Amino acid sequence: MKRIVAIVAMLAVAFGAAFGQKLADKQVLIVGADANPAGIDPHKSTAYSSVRITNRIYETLVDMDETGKLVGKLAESWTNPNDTTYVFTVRKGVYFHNGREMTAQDVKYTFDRILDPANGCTGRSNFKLVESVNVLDKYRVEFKLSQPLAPFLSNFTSIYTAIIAKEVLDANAGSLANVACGTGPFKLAEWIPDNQVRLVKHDKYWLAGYPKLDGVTYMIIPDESARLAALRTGSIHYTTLSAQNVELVKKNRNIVVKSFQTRDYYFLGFNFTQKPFDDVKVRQAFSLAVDRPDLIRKALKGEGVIAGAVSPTLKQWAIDVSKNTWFRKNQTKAKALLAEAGYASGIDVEMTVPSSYPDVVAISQVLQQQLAGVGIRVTLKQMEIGQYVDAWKKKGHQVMAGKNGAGIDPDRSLYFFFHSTGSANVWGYSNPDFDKLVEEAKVTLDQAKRSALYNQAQEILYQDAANLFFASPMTYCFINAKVKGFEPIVSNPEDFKFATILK
Amino acid sequence: MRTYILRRLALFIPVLFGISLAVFILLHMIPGDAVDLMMGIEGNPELRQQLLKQYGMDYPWYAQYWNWISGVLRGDFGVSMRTGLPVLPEIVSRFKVTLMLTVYSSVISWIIAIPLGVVAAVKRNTWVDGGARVFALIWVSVPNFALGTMLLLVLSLVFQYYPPLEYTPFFASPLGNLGSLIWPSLVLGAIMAGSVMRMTRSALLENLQQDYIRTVRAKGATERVVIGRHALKNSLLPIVTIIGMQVGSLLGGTVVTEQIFSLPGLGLYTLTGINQRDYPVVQGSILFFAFIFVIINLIVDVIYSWIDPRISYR
Repeated sequence: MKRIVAIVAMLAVAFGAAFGQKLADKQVLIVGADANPAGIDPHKSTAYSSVRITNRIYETLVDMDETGKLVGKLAESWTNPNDTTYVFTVRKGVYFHNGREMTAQDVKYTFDRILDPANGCTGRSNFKLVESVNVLDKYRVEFKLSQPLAPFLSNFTSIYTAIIAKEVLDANAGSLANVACGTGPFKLAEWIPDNQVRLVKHDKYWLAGYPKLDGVTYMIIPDESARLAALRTGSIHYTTLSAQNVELVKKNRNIVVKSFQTRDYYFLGFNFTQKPFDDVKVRQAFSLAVDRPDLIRKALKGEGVIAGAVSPTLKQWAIDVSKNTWFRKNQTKAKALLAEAGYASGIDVEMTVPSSYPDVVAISQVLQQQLAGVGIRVTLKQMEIGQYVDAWKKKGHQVMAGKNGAGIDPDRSLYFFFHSTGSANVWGYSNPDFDKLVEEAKVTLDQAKRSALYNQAQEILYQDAANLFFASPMTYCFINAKVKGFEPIVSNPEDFKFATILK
Repeated sequence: MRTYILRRLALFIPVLFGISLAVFILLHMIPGDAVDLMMGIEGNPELRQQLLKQYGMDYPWYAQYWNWISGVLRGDFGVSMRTGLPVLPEIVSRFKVTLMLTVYSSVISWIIAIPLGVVAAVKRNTWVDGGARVFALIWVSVPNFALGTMLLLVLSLVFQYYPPLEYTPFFASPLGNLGSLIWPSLVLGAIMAGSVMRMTRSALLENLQQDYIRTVRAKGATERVVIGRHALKNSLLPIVTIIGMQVGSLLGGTVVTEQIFSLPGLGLYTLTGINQRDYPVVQGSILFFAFIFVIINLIVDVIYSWIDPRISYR
């Protein structure tokens, strides 16, 4: 045993020397963040500026790995004694930032808070079927459901289900908007609004030896060109920037760009309550008028893949849309469909676009040109985000361009957005066949059967052109070359616990 | 004078009250409310109802206004709907940043503009005057976002330098504070200098053609006395007016400059508040701006009578 240790140590030294890898004295990673967090309550703050921070401080029972598989995080394992019961065994030796060990009791506290409607927690709607949460012993907790629910486990990966400590919640009158105590690798040290959020290492983190960093500091730098300038001079180590900047740092050896496929997709939503968008032929004509590869080239600098409602990163669920007829440009057929619907002379359409998303604006401009090719004359109407959300809610639009998160389970991608009663179905789309399939899939626990149902549902959705789907973009992480041990992945893009900073 | 100031102060009350009401109504008229934006697509009617209740938005607008304004009268500006932090201390701490930025950039602009304006007026129609006028015209016409971004680009690409990311308050370290604010102050100072210089030049030119200047010269006074003691002093009124206006608008936050240089000032606070429809934040900060503006106006009026004793207030 001693010899193995010695060899490993020697190897480590040798490798370190060979690559000149000496660690910098100050192991604090500086992140350039574009916005001040809008609160840091893991159960209520939904903005990305908040979630990127709550994800460092808090942890969930279940996690998703790069391949899309569910793995344990705070839960060591789980069993499924019957279709409506889940028993989680929580990891032993997990400590909150205040030093107390986390137990099954904390899981119950957490879900008491989430499930109480008076608290207005975001994740509640995913757990409505939970009948009771029972502590079995110190490390085991049981969830009882009123009926089977296939996406149930995947809901536990969301930060909206992060495990919290009751005493901290009580000490702050039930508000976690600006205090934090979780089990994550970093704990909140200081938050100076609109300037910085400073996180420091959690010494009693359950994964021994991690995090390697002493801390992560988020500096708020709203301006994109200022973030790039700060990265160039080494003032910050990490930031995310739009695709246009990749070209600018290509020759810079101090900056590494890493990208990953997001689970977002661009869409054009039709308002089914208005003519002529209730006519499937008109919608299909839209879909066939669009040249998606060209759109990706022009609006996304060639970075992105053709995608439908289900994220292509979820290979076990998404059908290959690049082979789907409705995703291929066919202008002759589009014109014919428009003529059949009674619009041989073309139609005039007003497209609502959120002005604060430059990528969506770019997409809509290319769409405008492409649709003109079949006689669909588009007027773009840019709206400030508040107005946009209001128009969305009140269905005051004709067609609306936007970007949505497809989520990690097809139940969200399909039921939530397109079932007749789905809470994000603001379009008015309703197809009984589609509804039946996604309802059935929701309660089918057998993976293969469930997948077959979703495949059919996706075919229907694309044939109906419920929304127009185009592409899923990439996220670009711009990183100082001295930062090692950091790989962004879509399910946890800013997991810095393995990162170190070289001299 | 004293009664005048007291009367002006008393007038603050209806002005601020009117502004608070106008802001409140306008803010609640903008489509998309705080709760909609907070929920995004995760929303459902039940959650919406719950959040409305939580933030006291389930009352009619006049009741909401009353709740807010009665709090303000007691010194309670409410808490941010997003961060849960009380609004008044946040405004005060950000105002300190904006105040220091205003002080530095004003001083920079005066140092550049007033001497330059005087020289340009005295050496009228020479190359000095021409140069100074072109100089002023450049700063008047360059938008501050372009100037700020360019400055950062030059600093980072040519000099490999980026201003400190951490903001240092004045009382923690005056020098550190200057380090945090010098670059944005240069940008704002240069832009302000343009219009102050032009005003100085034209006001001085006008005065130099007055009869009393001829008299002073005939008396045998040196050119220095003519310009410094007589002409410039009489030209100060329009200069003070324009400076007062500039300072007033700077104190209201310089959103663009704060954004480019990542300064935790009032402008950025208000802008974020507006984007998120964070009602207590926006209402509180706009009321505060209004207060600052009326105060600055009062100060400028008082300075008038001090510069020009012919102006008196009763």
